[in-house]
Amino acid sequence: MTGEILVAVEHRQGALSPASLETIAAAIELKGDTDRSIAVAVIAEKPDDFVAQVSKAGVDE
Amino acid sequence: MPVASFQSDVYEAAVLALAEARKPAVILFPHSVDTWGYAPAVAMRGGFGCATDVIDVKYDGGDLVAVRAVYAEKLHMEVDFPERETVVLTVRTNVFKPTEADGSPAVSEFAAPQTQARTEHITYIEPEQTGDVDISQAEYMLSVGRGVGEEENVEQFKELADSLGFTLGCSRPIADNGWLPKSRQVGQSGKTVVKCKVYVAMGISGSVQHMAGMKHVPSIIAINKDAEASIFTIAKYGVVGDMFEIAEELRGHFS
Repeated sequence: MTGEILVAVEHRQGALSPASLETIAAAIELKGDTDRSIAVAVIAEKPDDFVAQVSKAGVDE
Repeated sequence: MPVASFQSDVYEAAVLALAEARKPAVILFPHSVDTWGYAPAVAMRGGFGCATDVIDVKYDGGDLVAVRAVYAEKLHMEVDFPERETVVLTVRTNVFKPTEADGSPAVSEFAAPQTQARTEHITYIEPEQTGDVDISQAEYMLSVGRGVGEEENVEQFKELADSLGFTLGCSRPIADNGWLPKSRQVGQSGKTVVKCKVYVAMGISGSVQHMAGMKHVPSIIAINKDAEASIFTIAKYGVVGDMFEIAEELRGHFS
């Protein structure tokens, strides 16, 4: 299989939304059905601030 | 040109550029007021498949299948995307339990395209909080369903929950009737009890929608007069009996 699972997370006032973590969880469940990798995209002026928060087990990039 | 606050045009251009560069099979977004504004646009401009407000997603024989709730949550509809190399999905909140385990993914940067936003962010106005409790954070829950019968019966279960140190929740019919606030409703159109360790379901038959909000709880105790009730299929402990009689037993035991 080709093509990864890309998750576009969202944040507001410097905080990652709880729904973003739920969406990452959905991606991890979906990953279990296949051999696709998961990439999480943080669209932000300073994305480094969110790296630790989205670095969950099962996320590849 | 990412910006400090959400800008639909900027986010749309950034995700489209990412999709062009990485050719993902699926792009998942939270189903939120922000993504309503740009996820479908990403799908349309990219020529991708799209489904919004999905409650489940899976691969079936190599084909992506998304599940949506339709007809006022009465039915679940499966959507597939034949001949679409990329599919955009917005994922309903309070359905998937957030992952707690940390990992060490690779980190890379991607230069978003220069985009001129057509809107200007001015300020945030947070909605007034109307819920009296956040059941998503409760560790011990006692929920009541149709079996409670009448509105005047709810209070005794509130008192029972309080005496046990549990948080009172309910199934949808109870919230729809206005017998308990919507903030206490467990399930797809309510909340997922994310932190719950013990869940006591009293007089709840166990609709798919309700169970979606609590089926992950390690210890589920179901009490229902109907031995065939669906809730027993996910319960760790089950009691076939009258919820009022069981409640009386509990009062006598813990008071």
